[in-house]
Amino acid sequence: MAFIEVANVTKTYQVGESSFTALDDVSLTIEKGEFVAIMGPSGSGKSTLLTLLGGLNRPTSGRIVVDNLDLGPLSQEQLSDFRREYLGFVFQAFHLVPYLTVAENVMLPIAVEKNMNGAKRVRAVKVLESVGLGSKLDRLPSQLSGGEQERVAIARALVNEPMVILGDEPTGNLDTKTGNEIMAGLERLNAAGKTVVMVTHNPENAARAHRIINIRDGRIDNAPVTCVCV
Amino acid sequence: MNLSNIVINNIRRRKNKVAFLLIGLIISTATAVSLLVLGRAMTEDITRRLDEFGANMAVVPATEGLTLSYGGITVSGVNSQGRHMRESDLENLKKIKNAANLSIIAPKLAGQTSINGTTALIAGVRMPDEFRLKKWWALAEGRKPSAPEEIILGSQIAHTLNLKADSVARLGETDVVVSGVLGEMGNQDDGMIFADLAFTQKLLGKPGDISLIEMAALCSDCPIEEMVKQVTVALPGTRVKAMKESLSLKMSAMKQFHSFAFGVSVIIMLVAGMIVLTTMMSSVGERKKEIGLFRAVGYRRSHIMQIVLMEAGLMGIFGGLFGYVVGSIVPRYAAPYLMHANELTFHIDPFVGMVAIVASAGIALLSGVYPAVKAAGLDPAEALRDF
Repeated sequence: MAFIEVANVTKTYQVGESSFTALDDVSLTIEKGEFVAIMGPSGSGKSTLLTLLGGLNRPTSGRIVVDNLDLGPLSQEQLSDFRREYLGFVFQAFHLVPYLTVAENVMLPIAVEKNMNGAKRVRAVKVLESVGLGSKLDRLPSQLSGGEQERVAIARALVNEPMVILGDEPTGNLDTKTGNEIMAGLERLNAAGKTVVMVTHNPENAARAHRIINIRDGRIDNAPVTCVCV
Repeated sequence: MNLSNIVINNIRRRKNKVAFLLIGLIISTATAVSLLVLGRAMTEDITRRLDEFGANMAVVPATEGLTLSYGGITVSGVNSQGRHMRESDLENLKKIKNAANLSIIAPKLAGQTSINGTTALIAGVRMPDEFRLKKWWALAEGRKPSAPEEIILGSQIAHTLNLKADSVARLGETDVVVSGVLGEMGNQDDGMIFADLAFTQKLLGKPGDISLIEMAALCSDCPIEEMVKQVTVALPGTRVKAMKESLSLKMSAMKQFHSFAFGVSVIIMLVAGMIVLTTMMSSVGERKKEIGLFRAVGYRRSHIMQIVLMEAGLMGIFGGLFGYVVGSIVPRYAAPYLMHANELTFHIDPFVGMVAIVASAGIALLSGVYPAVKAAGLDPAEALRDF
């Protein structure tokens, strides 16, 4: 069985009296250690797919299984635990908490763990050093460049040692050079065994993935599937 | 790093909102504490004044006969040959259970005598006790008696007989010195002669007799009815009267004040609760994305609730603490201006402080529950929106 399995998933939003189908009977599988890019025009449903994979949303119908764990029957609290244990999110807008330092932002996912604060900090420092921010632990996000902020967001996604990294346009707000650095970082994480699923508009970034899934009008567009490397 | 770090850092960041919330809680708690502190101080003051000013218990013989109204007390047996109380009976008063509450015991022997050939009422008293009991006594002239043969006169009788301080007067068959004349008081003391008790007993031919005992009992917390029973048992054949009307009236006024203060405090604390509720709701609205992020990285709903409630509780604790400090200090300086009360005594009461902190924190927590539930119920995907 695939590491991530999406089977016949439909997601419909109710807007007033009318409804809008964001995903329509989508099925796909992602293997462990795969680097997958999801592409598609705005409103095609790619971000909806990512929220469903991340357990932030529930499908209207269909089934999503991650590492043999069916997300359907899980309660809201169990879904929270699933996200904390399995996933690392990297957002386009970084979503760093402005009043927390770099180290504190990275420690966010593990703040609810019962470990000693010292141990949590050691983990955060280690991850921040791995993204080259070991010297900026006590800075506030506002004191960092865009690229540095994104690297903090990546460090935060890694601190709980997740199996899957979900990226939502992770280079969308960055210049080309910084975007390349971030993509190289994601590639390194993938090489280290993490499964990476990334939504992107950028074909060059998508080309760095093992596989591209195109979505159009809520359905997987099977025509132009690009397999760059495996 | 744990949830409390998030709360503390968020409080540090949103200084203006936090200050608004904190000031609301401080004002509310301070008002409630001020009213409580003021009420307590006023009650203590009234009690102290009542204890200090005059007797609140009197013992008279239970015998029938001619009566004399003295200081609002009907003293029977003035001219009768019935039983008089004895000075030695006073020893029994020291043995009653609440003897410690009796601050002043002032025995008197009342009777008729002649002064410079004019019939007048005389009260034999223990001068030091009498002056302590009747703090309103002020000498218009002269000084307090210092020897048994020295008397003081009420203003009216002194005027009628044209006696002044240091005049010599003929009291019965004895020459005495008028050591002082009391200022006019508008009561029967104005027409009376006050002399030493032993001297009066001898003058009236009633050695060891007393006709009235006035007592000042410190009764802020003692059961006056219970003390009346104890004195009645200690002094058989007497009638004991508790003059508690004024006390009851003032205490009833104080109870009304306390009820009013309690009502105002409840309303103010409810307003404080509303301030917390609206501020926290607006805070949750502002932090929607942040909450969405927390949920995305794996925070449970209960974690979000903890964050919001911890923030509300922390505000409540500080609001209660500072409110208590402000509420304890303000009445000291405001009372003289607002209530013309200069002599109130204010105490630092740690218990009131504890109650203030617990009440403030409790209200803040209760008011934080709805925003916390709202925050915890936010759809993380919707909250992040641009995800």
